[in-house]
Amino acid sequence: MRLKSKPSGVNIRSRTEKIILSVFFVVFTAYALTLVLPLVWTAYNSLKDARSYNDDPFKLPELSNLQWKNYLQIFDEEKMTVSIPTAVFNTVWRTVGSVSCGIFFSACTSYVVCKYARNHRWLNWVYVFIVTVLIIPVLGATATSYNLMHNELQIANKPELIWTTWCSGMGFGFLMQYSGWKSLSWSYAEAAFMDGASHFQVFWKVMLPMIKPVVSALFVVNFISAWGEYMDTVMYMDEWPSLGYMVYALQNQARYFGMPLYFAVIVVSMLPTLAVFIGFQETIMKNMTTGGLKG
Amino acid sequence: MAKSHNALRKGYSSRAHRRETWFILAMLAIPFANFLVFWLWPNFRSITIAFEVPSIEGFTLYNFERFFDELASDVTGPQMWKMIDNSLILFVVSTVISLPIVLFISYILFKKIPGYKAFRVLFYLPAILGTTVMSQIFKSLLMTGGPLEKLLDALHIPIDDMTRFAGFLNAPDTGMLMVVIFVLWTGVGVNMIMFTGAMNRVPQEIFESARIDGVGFFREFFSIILPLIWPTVTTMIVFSMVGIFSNASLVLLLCPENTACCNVGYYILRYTLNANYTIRVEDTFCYPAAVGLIFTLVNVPLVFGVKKLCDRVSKNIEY
Repeated sequence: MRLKSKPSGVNIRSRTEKIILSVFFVVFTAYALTLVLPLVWTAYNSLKDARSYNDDPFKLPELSNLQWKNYLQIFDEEKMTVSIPTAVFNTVWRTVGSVSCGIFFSACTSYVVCKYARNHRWLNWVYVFIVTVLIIPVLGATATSYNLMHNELQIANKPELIWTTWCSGMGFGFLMQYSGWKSLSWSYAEAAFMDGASHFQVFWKVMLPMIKPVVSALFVVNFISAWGEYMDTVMYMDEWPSLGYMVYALQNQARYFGMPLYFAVIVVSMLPTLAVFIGFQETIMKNMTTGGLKG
Repeated sequence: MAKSHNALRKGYSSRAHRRETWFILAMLAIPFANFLVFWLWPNFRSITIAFEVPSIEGFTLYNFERFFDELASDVTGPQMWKMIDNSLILFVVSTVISLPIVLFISYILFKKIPGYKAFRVLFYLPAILGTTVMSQIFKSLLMTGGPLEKLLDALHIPIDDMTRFAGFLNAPDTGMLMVVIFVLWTGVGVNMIMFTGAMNRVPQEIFESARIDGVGFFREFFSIILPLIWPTVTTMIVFSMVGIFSNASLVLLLCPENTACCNVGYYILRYTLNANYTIRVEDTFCYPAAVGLIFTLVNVPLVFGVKKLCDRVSKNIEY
């Protein structure tokens, strides 16, 4: 290994390292292309008419003949046999509901489990319990959960009751916020208690704003999974189908109204997640790669 | 530690303690109720229901007998074994094959390959767009008369009639291969983020002193990075083990009609979704619950065994 005396902070690479990195640069570029090109392909095919797609699915659309009207037609209920605006509406309220309930309740549980365990030892057991539940593989419950939703509680397809399923406060969000609380000093809370703040005020107004980076990373992760959600629709919300479910369900029927229209639906469903990601890109990459989960 | 802290806090009385207890209980109340109703109750019921059949009164092992009969039968047996194989194939692909590859990709990114920031964002793209969108684009590329077929035709690569008729995902020969390709293709994102995160937490001084000691590219990876981020690797392996038999969505999204792709999770899901509409009495929730119980009993020791093994491979190193 040759070491040249360079100013500190400059990355010194050995020759093997340089060769390996150049090889991987080519490999990485190729892989990145396989991810990007299908998306570009989807986007430009959404601007063709069905015939020119069937003739040659690879050809770029003629600029003089861009079918922007595809994006109007997908909102036509008769043409698509389903209502895309309703699906957009359902996706929005279901996403907002599940993301905010999910974050709020996992903040509650992780906060008390992390910060109150020093005076209340039993909370350590709650922590062990939550983590254990997380890694127990449960399979049989698919059937009984379905039965619970449809027959026992009858909350399937009832928006006014469905929020109760979102308040679990456990799972991935718990772990992420727990590590956030862990690195946050309790002295902020103590200062606030001195000023006469109540426990909930300290949690809500002092402590929660301070783990904002973790919360926003969690927000992005939850938003992405909630937006593309389709399994809950299949299981117990089929009368309130989400956009993700539409993307899934319409694929089989796409040949009847033409693939370009189907691609337009995909593009519409992709835009919000892309927007959120671009908006929060720095936050998420920073938090997920530097903070995040440990062990 | 707790006691000394208590002593430090002035005015921490039993009344304050009681008030804290009320606060804790209030904060945990709704999540706990949610846990009881939506986790504990269905899971408890799925154990008891596995020993029930609507047509028979009381306790019965009928569902279990039915499962093992079908597994042993010449008619349904091969299909049942295939679905178990498929679950294991998906596990091997996502854990044994994909995880080490992603680990190494993360290391290359961590070494700040030119353009590493752009690569990181692009590789994370499938996770951002979600499995639903990615799978349906994949499906559209592979469908009958779709782009892949046209591409192979243009290159004069022969496609057999069955595949041409059914499409690559629905043909018995190619279906599972395509699912595997999809898993490898989209599987980099989330794990990459976790691994680069763990690598970034390793103190910089370690690498500096290693470099002075003349540690090379690969030795740095195997002797320094890997042991130090082992807890994260263990977590990913364990989470992946948990999902071996429960992953139903991949099959549902890609090839629900292809029996050659069916896995355990999808088998259970299909029975569940059909149970409300079926006329056969034994096709109720009882049978899928029993199948789920059988595979849970296989999976739980597997998960905890692998976790123990992983923990033993390397002691937790604090840094």
